[in-house]
Amino acid sequence: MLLVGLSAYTVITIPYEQAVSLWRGEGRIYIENPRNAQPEWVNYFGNNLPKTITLDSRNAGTPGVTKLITPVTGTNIKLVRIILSFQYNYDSFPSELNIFFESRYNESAPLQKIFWVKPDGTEIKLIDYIVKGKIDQQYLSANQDININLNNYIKSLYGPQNTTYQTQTILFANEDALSKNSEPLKGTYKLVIEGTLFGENPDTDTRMVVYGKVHGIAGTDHLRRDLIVGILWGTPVALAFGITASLTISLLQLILATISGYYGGRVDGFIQRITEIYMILPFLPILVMIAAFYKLDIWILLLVIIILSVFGPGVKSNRALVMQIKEYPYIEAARAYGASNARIVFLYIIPKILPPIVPNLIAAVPSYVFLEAALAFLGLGDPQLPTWGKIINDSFTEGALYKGYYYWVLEPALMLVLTAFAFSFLGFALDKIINPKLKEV
Amino acid sequence: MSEPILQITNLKKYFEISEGLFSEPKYVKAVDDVSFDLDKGEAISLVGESGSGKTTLGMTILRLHDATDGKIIFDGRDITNLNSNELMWYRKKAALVQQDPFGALPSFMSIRRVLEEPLIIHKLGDKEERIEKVNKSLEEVRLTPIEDFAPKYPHMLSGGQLQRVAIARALILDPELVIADEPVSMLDASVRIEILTLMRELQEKKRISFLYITHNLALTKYFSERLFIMYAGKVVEAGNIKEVIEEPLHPYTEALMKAIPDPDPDNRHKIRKIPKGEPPSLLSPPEGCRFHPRCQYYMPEVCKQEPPVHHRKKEGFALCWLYEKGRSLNYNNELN
Amino acid sequence: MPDNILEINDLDMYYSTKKGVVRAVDDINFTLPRGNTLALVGESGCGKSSLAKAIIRLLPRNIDTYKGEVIIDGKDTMRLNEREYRENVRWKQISMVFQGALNSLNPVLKVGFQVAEPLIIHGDIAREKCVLKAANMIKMVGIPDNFIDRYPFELSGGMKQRTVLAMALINNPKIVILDEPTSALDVITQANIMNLLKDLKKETDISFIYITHDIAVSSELADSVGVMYAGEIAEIASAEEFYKEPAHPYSQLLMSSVPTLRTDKELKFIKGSPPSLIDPPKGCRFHPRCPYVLNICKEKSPKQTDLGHNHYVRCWLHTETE
Repeated sequence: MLLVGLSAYTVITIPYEQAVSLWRGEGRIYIENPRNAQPEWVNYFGNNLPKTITLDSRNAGTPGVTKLITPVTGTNIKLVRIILSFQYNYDSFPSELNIFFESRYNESAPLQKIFWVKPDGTEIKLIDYIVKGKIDQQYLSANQDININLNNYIKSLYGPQNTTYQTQTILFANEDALSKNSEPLKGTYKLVIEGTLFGENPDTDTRMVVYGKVHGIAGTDHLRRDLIVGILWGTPVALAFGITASLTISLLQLILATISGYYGGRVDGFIQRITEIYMILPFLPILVMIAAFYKLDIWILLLVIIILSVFGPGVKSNRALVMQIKEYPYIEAARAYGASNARIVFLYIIPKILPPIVPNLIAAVPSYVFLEAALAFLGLGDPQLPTWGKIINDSFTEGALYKGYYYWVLEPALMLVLTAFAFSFLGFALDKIINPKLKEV
Repeated sequence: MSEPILQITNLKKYFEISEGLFSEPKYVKAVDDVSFDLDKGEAISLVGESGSGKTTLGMTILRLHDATDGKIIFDGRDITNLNSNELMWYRKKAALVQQDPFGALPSFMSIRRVLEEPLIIHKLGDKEERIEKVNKSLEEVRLTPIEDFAPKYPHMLSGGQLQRVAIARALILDPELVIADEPVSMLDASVRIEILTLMRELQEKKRISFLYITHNLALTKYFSERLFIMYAGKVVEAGNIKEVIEEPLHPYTEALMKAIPDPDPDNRHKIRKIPKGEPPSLLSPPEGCRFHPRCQYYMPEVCKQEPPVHHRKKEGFALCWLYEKGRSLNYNNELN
Repeated sequence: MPDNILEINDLDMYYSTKKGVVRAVDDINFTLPRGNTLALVGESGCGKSSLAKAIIRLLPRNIDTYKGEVIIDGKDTMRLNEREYRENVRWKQISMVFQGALNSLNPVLKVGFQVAEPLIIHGDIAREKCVLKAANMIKMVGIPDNFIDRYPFELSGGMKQRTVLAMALINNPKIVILDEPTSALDVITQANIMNLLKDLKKETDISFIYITHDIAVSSELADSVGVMYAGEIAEIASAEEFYKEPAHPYSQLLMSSVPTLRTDKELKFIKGSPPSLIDPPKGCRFHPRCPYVLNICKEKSPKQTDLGHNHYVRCWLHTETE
């Protein structure tokens, strides 16, 4: 029930194409998500991991954001001073620190001086920078020059250090107690940008993102994608795949079994022999081979699975039931009033066998979901769709367990297990309802 | 005199049993050389015990089995070897009412739908006309008010009601021949009379030829005129019911008469004088007269050969050697 | 020794189902003299099989009520607990041949052994003697000796029925209940079995309770006849009185629905169908189908009235209104 509700919700809120494009990370949609962030609710467990803080100079006037443009008299030059200040009270350092610029200019780009002010008043100049285009960014934490400068700064103040510190560590740390395990200094931080603008009507805006270590309900992956999107969107994919596979295969097997059982004789022999050969062939290895040779779209994969399963065990087990039903009086009566064989097979026999098959059909759905997940996990599935198996695959490729990103593996795994439970219980319940009726028959 | 609607001549139906790849095939001789005529509008009873072949005979006449030998002529046309396409017109003219009311209707169809099926198959009329016909047929079998029955499903109805639906279904194509195979043996005693009376009324009103297959000899005189007694695949005696009951000619008929009780408190004081043993297997029936191992009139010189046909005075016959030899039964309508 | 081998007083047996409590056996009273045979007739669902099981105490799992007196040879067996009953009464004093008994033979045991089994289980007699007794019994029911070592699938329907009968008789019970023993057999075999029962009746002191829906067949054995309707005994009378002049309207209608071979009569049927045992009609249970229904029949349930010579009827037509 839950899964159906979930997938319905997902389908409504996220249209298909948008999901694919979201997942592919087209555009820079995810650029403001932290990488490999844990779910936010881990903070309930006593952690105090930082959330992402975003400040934008375009929102001048909101707390913490000031922007002042002062023209210099007698020239075309304008001075701009942007201060972005924020409170930082977390127990852990931010994962990244980036600045995004959006500028308007004709010929000469703005010149920016970027300063950092810590709560204890220390002011550090980070960099002098000429904007390189209308839209530009400065990955402060990744910038090697800044890092070397900062480490030299520390060395000059406190002597040679044992290790090279990360940029954000230096920027946020209490310098007196600087070490690998130190905690950040809590208080108000400021990013100060003093820029010089040239030309007619120039402008520049800065957006600073202090990346946290937690994000959203489910965290993020290595490509900054919000995992909740992947989990959510995996639901309808898994359900659609599993249900379609199970339904189609069960129905096809049923039809074959009925034709085989009803007509008997050579038709029966023929179908049964083909079934036996099919059943001997190893399903999974062949599937893996095909998936490895051809990069498969998930729906083609579905088709392949169906084709490989169609002459399966259902053909044999249902046949026994069919042979029993064939002897029922109403079948004989139908022949007496002129029903054709085809009519009897489809209108008289199959509706009778269908009810007992439904519980099995439902209980079989998880196995197809797992099949797809297994293939995706091995890297053989659809590379574009966000399926649970794919998420697990990504996590393993990125060494999630090694790096401690347990949530990345556990969340999709949990979804798979939930699916299995849901369908199995549904199948059992249906079995109980339908089988007593069978006894009447 | 009416002309015959059905003429059966030397009809045989054997089922092949193969015991292995190399042994000779054996045959279950369910119907072994049966001949009779059925007139238009006439009702006859075919009486026999289980294993006598009576059901197989009915099924073969309806062409639900293929005859092994012999001829079936219906309304002047030879239908013995027609295939299922060619038989579609026959399916409208000859109908079946089965023994088991609970299994005779598909459990997943409503009563209305069940009755529509034959009409749909034979493409008779559009939806409106079909519904009208269905309603009319429900009225005919007295399942009224119609809305109380038409939308229901078989498991909601009693045995008697289900059998009425089966009868309605059999009659909905306006057949000329109905074969009813033990139509009431699974119903309660009082319901039986109700159903049989209904069938009789409909039969007489529509002038349908009826073949009742039953093991209950006592019922036959209430619902049919002629009687055929079947034993081990052969019709051993035939004739007008009242005459046969009053004066049976075949020793098996005599045994049946002696074996069947009427409700009489004196019965418990008398031992019935009847043959011992059981009906033979159809796989290896006794040679010659099928009844000879159990017959009290057994004559070693002749009874192991196929007995001749001895005709009754008015109509009917018996297959027995007695009359050739100038003998007869000691039947006196007493039990022993 | 008491005259009556069996006396039933106020016997009730109800069992519970999802739809309610089924009053399968309701306020049953009758007596059975030693050596006599009682036929219990009725339509399907009237409770006759349930009554049989109530008498021999084979109760269903969903039993709701089981009370009254079942007095066998002077002793009330309702007082005994299950173990005592099993050791002393069931299959020793009273045994039963079930409906569809032909299918209840164990296909992997030889016929002779199955007949001996009840003796062996009760444990009083040495094994060789059991086998001997079994062989005797098999002969007594008319099965040829060479069948003792055969398996059930080799036997015909009639012989299987005789085997089951032998199993019921092996412990020399005083009462044998037969539930539709011949309904699956052909007419001549049925008559042969009835001949056998008639012989047993003459030669032994056994009392039979013969349950059937076939009134004609019941007359082959019955010294007295009881008609069951909706869990109650509507009428019980001697065979002479019942078959010639039944008192209860239901009995009359039943008799007129029996086709007779040798006499000519008009067949009548009973309109309607038997009621549910969960919610039987108020008052007399037969009143919705009765051609002589009075107002009191719809309100009050009639008690058993004694018409003399052991003829009892539950009907307001035969009772002084109170």
